Amino acid sequence: MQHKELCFKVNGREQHLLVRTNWTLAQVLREQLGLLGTKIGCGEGECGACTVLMNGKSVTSCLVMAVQAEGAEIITIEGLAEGETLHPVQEAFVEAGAIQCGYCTPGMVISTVALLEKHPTPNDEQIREGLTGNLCRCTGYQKIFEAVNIASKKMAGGEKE
Amino acid sequence: MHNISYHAPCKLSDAVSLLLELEGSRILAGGTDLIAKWKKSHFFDMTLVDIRNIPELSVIEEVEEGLFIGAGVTMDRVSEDERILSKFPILAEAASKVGSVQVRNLATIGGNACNAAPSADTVLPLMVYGAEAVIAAKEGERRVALREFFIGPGKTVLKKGDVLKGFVIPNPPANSFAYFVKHSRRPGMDLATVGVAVLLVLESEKTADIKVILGAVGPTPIFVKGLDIFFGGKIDPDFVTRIAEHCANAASPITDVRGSKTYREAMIKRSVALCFRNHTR
Ligand SMILES: Cc1cc2nc3c(=O)[nH]c(=O)nc-3n(C[C@H](O)[C@H](O)[C@H](O)COP(=O)(O)OP(=O)(O)OC[C@H]3O[C@@H](n4cnc5c(N)ncnc54)[C@H](O)[C@@H]3O)c2cc1C
Ligand code: FES
Ligand code: FES
Repeated sequence: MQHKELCFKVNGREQHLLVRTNWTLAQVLREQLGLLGTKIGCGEGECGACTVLMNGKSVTSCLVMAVQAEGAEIITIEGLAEGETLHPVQEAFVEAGAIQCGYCTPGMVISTVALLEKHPTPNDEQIREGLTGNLCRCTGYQKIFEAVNIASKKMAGGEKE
Repeated sequence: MHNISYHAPCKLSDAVSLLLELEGSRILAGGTDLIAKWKKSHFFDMTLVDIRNIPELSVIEEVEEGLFIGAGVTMDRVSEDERILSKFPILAEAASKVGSVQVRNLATIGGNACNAAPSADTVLPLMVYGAEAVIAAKEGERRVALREFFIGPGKTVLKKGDVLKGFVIPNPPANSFAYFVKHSRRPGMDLATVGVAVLLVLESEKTADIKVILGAVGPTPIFVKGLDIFFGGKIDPDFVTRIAEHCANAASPITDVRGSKTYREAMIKRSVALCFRNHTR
């Protein structure tokens, strides 16, 4: 089994790890760094449960080999809150009741953060487009739509209650 | 089993040397085809040459003939680049229809062509605009018209040690109009059932040149031949019916989960007709 040294930043902290060359970024985040918020669903890029931000862009971490993250900056769901204060997108998901089993939620939240970065006040089409890569088997998406709109308002207002 | 050895050279020439030296080595770009395939095929052993650190592969720049797009440019950049949007709008459109946001942030335009799926979205506009593939090899660079690049499903003219460096796309002629249709089962996150790209040149309301590329309806993307019989014509409903029929005859679709042969034939006709709708009188 081959290993390689990996230096990257995860949720703002420098990490130097010895990783297996046949492990994906999702595996290293979960198994080596204990960041279990990132889920693995399909493992093939279809469901979005494993979505993280890599250098500011959302990617499915099940399709990225860990060694490809050399020098990258990764943000996972654990990296969004500041201490006890949730990120406005997380707050919005809670308020809208957009979480049922929760398996899709970390990926949904990360994709919503990326979406609002690009379109701070997205229309329905832009929301649909931005979340195409995230499947949810519970909510029927309606509450998730509402959460995105609530988050958009929260972030525009700059307030964080 | 399960072994991967990984190399990430910073120079194109080093990538070429590694590919030649290392037995069974292959290029890793965005990994959206390769890693997905590796997982579906029981994690076969791989020797990977990752091209992400090679600067030449991620540039988009204007050149004498038109525009150079590096093989490592990701779909999100292709879909948003101002130069591509203004000169080659259907290339940006096709890139914006690949997979999902997350897939487009990883997937490269070079990987789309090298993977050689008959359904590859960005290949159709590249071919219809007359793009050439720029290939780096030990002996130096060579260029191959993209229309001659594909040999079969998953097969291209690339040989061991070849790296696709990028594409040169010539500026489209004046009075030209380009159209792209991706007909899929649902609007997002699906491969094309039928793909069509059309480049139409008009001179005083008559057709001066027409190029049509069809995707997902044969072993490779299809450059429709014999369209010169439609040059010099006025685009009326009869013209559209005839050219749509001609294109459907050029295809050799199969039946699979995305659609039957008959359905695909009907959708080629419909999609080709859609491309002419703005000009039909
Ligand atoms: C969920 C999902 C949805 C998708 N949806 C679509 C879709 O809608 N439309 C579509 O067309 N595709 C789709 N794809 C397929 C894929 O994303 C694209 O084909 C993509 O452009 C491949 O690029 P890549 O950089 O990820 O290639 P990789 O997977 O890195 O490489 C693909 C192949 O090309 C070779 N290669 C890559 N770059 C070079 C180079 N520069 N020179 C020589 N060889 C090279 C590799 O060795 C490998 O064999 C989808 C994939 C997934 C996982
Ligand atoms: S687990 Fe990565 S997309 Fe489904
Ligand atoms: S809440 Fe269960 S999958 Fe989305």
